[in-house]
Amino acid sequence: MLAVLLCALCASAPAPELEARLGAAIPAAMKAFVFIDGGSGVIVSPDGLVLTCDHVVKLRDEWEVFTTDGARRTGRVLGRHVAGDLAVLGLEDARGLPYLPVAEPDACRVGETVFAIGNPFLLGMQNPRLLPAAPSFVPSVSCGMISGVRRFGPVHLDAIEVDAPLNPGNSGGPIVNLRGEIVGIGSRIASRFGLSASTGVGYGAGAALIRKLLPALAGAEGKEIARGTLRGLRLERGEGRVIVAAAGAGGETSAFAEGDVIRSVGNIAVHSPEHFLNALGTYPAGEEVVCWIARKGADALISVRLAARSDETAFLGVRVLSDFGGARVEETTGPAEAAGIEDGDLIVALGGILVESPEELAAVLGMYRPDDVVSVDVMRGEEAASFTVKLGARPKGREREGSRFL
Amino acid sequence: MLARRAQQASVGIVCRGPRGGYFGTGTIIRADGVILTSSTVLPPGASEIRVTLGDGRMVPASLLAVDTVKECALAQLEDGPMPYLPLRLDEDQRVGQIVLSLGNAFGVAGGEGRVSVGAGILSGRYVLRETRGEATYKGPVLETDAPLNPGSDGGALLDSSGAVIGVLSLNYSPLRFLGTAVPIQSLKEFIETAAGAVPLASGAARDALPRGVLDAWARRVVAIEVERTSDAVMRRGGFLPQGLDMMRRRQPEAFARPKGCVSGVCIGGDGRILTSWYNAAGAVARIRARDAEGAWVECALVAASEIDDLALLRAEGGVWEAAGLADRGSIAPGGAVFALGRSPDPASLTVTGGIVSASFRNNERFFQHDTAVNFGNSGGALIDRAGRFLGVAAYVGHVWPEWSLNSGIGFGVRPERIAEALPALQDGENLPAWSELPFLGVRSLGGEQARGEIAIGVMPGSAAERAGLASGDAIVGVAGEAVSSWREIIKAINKYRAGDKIAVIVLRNGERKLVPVTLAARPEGS
Repeated sequence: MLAVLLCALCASAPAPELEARLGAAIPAAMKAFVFIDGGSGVIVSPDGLVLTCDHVVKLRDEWEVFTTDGARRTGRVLGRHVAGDLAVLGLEDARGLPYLPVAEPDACRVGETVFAIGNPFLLGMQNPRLLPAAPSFVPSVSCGMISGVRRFGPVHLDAIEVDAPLNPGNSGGPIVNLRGEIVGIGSRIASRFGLSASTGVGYGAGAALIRKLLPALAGAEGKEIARGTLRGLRLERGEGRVIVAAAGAGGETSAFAEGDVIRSVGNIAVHSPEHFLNALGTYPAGEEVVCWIARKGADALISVRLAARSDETAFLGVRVLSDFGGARVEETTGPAEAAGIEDGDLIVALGGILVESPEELAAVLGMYRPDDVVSVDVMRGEEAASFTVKLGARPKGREREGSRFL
Repeated sequence: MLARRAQQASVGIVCRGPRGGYFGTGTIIRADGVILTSSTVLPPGASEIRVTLGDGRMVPASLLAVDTVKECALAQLEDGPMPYLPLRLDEDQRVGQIVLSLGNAFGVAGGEGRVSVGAGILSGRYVLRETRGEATYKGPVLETDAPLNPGSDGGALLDSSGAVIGVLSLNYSPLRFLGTAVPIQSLKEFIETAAGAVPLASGAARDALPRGVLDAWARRVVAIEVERTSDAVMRRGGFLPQGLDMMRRRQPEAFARPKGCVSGVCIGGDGRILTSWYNAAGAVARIRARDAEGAWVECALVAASEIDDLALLRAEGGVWEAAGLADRGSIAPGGAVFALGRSPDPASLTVTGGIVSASFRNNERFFQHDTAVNFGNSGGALIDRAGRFLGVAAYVGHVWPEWSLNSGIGFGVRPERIAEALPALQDGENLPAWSELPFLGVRSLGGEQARGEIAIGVMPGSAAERAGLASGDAIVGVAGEAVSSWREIIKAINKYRAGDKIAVIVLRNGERKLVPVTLAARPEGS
């Protein structure tokens, strides 16, 4: 009976038999919700571990965090994972907090009813220091279902896809099932009509990725954790299959042999070389994973230890401030200066992807590597202008100063 | 189960066509691998057709037939048997039933193999007379609030039994910005001619809300036609941030007030109609509303309240059926919310669905919901599953343009606020605009929902500070009225205007103190 209920169609409104359960699950889940600046987060342990998106907390190490009872706490970034868009904060002096568990990944099925809690368009929290209005700490909740699982893309890794409306400000907020478990962390929305608003296609790191990374994130001492990879394999594309064309000479990749067909990494079935590399990236570097391969017609399992994949991000050379509808350039250097971007320009898009805040600019920039060439759309006064920028590498030895620049 | 079965029978398609590469969605409709899709996915002369199956395999297919007038196409996979979905050819596609949309939205299937499944309601049935973008189909369409995005074209619209009731199209009404599908009935002949007989379904489909509720509300929700002498777009504050201005240049259609009718809800048998302030604002020359019997009747604008996004109209004659307001307690997060409208086709009701996102917003005037709201249904009724009238669907695009296009950010004027505003509106009194409200300059330290003695913070330089109110004071009385909530304080103050002198009673260190305050005008941007 439970299985039948869970597969009942949600519609955009919950199915009649689910409405009461939804109404009961929401207030309980909200207790574990936190506001982090303009974004969202969720408490996942009684001692104050908070899950959120990397792009929400990228710019600083310490954040002012509000729970829905209006209490203010300090949250320190414990670890970040760029490709998975996940980060963990630790709340100071936290004990006995309400929290949500992370769902069993296999229980997250397409068609399951879920709800998203977040702070879209800052409707749920107006920081009393910023706005002369009554402070309010009531997040927004939206409902939908899991539209897809195991989604991989340029800005998401082993994500779930949901049709529950996600909007700017939902980033970092939990996507929760009717059992009150986290199935994902809201991260990205596919946009249409040039608008940064829900299209019914939203992505977030799924429970599988969260479970894999959470211990490493909590213990990363404020650093970025590297995604795992295997170096030295040459791969070929088959009809929906990955074939090892040449195995590495040494190290872990020597477990592979030319002609092996790679079927899965852990429990992620892989169809293409990109897919294989993405699947490896769902594990932290240094971890041992089991690959299922077919060798000369027979199935075999091989175990390999992953190397670290560099997540070196590209450098645009702008210092920006948040401004309505974009990122306002305060100062330029290096690549941006050379391309002609000026102080006062409002950056509204990078590589054709709209950005509405410094955080989003940083996130989109994170998709690029040094030496990539990318278009930057700005508003200069009333005029729109577009620049082509060859991205550089983040200047070394000026970490403190350079960190203010994107 | 249904969602996964539907996902397995849906495919991603790419091909080479006359204008380069095409991509979209298709549905396997027979076990031997017949694929139904759109001519915007497989155009005439399509070659190098590659189909991504649900298991991630990419296989070739050949084109069977294309019809650009009906915007559909058929292809054949080489190997079978395949999971498939049956077609539903009886005429019984009711607005308000539960549907699923299957789409290779934004090309997602190319990476992963499996298309996206979204759920929603069959939200409207009307005729599209113009085409948009790549779409070639004009005629009757099924509309849904389930997701439909670029790449979803050619995918299936399913009823709750898993039967195909339409083929998703890229055409849409600018009054709605919601997805549409070509009804499967109109493709029957094309399919049978090109592919022979295909499996049919006749199982019962479920409704999202009781049929009796919809039938009762069909007579209370009315279409409104507003003629204007100028098409100027209304915007709160008269400004738009620069970034948004650029988007407006890119996508002017998304922001212009489209031609066509809007919605309202009848609240008096004598022809009193509530709608969104936005719908009745601007250079209005003439307003007509369609009564319960389908006749168009001239209307007068009685009064409006911009901050409540409410306008009251009165029809001069006609047959009307009135809705009664729900009580204050019935709006809680997670409760189902349905938005009813009568646009673009005044003769047919539209229904979109969602939930209550937050019970109170904006000084408790509104509640927030995630039900799709657009130009056409703003001003219409928001109801729950039992048919209780929760509020009027606010138009929000002049506050934030994104919100007008079904973003999942919607607001409803709360029933008790409607009840509170109605007496003045019925007397023909426009309620003050935001900028006309007086300003005391305090905020509630306990938030908007604070009850009891309201501890305040005092803004520097405000009327409150000049009068000697201090942060930490607790307000218990305003202008002779005892107050016990933040909302009551706001209400009491808003009866006055800037320049009026009122007495505020506060508790300070346990003692009652009367403080005379001269109210000021609202500062910019507060």
